[in-house]
Amino acid sequence: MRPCRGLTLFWGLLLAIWLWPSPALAYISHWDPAEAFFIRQVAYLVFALAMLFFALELKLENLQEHPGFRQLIWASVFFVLWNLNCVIGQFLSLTFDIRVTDITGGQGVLPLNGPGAWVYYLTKLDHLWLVPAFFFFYRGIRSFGRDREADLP
Amino acid sequence: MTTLPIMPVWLVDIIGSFLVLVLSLATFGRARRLVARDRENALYLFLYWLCLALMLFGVSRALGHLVGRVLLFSGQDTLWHYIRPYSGGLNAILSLTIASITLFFHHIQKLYRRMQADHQHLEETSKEILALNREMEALVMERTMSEMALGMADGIRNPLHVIGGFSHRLLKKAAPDDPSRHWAQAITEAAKRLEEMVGKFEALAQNKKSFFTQEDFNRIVREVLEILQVEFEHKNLHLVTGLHPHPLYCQLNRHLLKVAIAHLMRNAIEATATQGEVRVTTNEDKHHILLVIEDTGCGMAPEVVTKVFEPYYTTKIGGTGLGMVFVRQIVDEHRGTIALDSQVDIGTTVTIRLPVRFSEAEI
Repeated sequence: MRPCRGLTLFWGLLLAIWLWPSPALAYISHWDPAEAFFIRQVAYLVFALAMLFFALELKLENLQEHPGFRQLIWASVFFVLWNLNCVIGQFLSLTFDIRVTDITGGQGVLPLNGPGAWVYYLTKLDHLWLVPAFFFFYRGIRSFGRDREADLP
Repeated sequence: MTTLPIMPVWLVDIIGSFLVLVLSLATFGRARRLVARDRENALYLFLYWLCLALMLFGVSRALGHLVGRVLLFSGQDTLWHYIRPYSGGLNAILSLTIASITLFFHHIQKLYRRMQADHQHLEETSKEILALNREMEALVMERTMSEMALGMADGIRNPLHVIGGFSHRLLKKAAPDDPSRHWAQAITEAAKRLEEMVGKFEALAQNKKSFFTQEDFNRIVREVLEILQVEFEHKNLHLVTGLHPHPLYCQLNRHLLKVAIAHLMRNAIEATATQGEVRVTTNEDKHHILLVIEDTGCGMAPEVVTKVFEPYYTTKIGGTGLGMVFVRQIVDEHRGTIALDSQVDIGTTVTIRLPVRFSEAEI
């Protein structure tokens, strides 16, 4: 008896939806560019906080004595700096609406104005933080690998 | 208006992206090799997953930037503007993934510490068992040698008396110029040497008490109770002691007996629920000293009781199954007996009887 009752309910629900249609509010469309901006900013901040937490955890556990962990702490510090650099850069690009306007044969210039001009220019060189971060991470993992090799008979 | 050259930015971006691409792939390669060597290492697994997320992030970001530059230089701005949101969205997702994995490190660290503590505990237990085993082996060897020496001495002494006695008589009766006198002399000397050997064997047999010293059994029990007092208090158990009013002197191995009694008492503590009772009594009869440990714990089923002294049989998580085997061996080495009486939900009573044949209490 139970399946028949379920089927009746299903058909009843379908009929009700058909008879009383209303705007579908199941999801909200996200086409606002500002949303993307905030998502990216939050992603950078969460990344930075996680790396900060990781570095602090390693430090508090006195793991920096191990060369591998020491390199990971440095990597985390550079990741934090890179993320902060990105947050500031993104924020300035939104605030000052600075764009590359003149590209002539690859010899483009950035026309900048306002107090954040130089800061914005420097944030564009974000790889100066990101490359060392990856480099230290690589060295850290390599150090663990060497430890393991030394342990092996 | 300030105008700044865009070329340094582009150069740093292109070279940086390329380096990030190479380094992220190299890091992941190293992490993969690391985890391949030890797939059960929690720290290596964590680093592997972090490197995987970082590699995906590095590759996605670097390729995004490099492709972006190429498209911009080649005048494909429209295509780049179409791809850009996907690349940015993916990078944001990967950033959050990296953050999630990194935050998991706290738990990994806790797990790692616990594993290390367990490992250390296991090592200590193994060392303890090894030391006990060595002591037991030395004890068994010493006992075997003593028994062998005693047996040989007993077996040789009587025929030696006969040989020595008759050779002496022959020597007395033989004339000074009789050639058989030399033979009798040789027999007497050989018998004397044999007597010396028997003497050495007897000395060895006398040393058999080297592992057993005259000890007060009550004192050993009291010392064990002092060590375990904290554990009794921690579990809030009622400890009732009824030690014999007089010292119970006996030839005992103090260290081994303490290990055995402590193990039995710890079992009682573990089996007894909070507010439960553990009763420890010592007594003596004409030929034995007695130790009775009673608890009001969960008890054991008859099929468990029969297996308790079997090596590697354990009902505890992480137990070695050797504790009770050692207890029995220690009691055996004292020529004693151990009896278990247990009823489920009522409790367990362990009775140890040790012979007092070496007792000097009455001397």
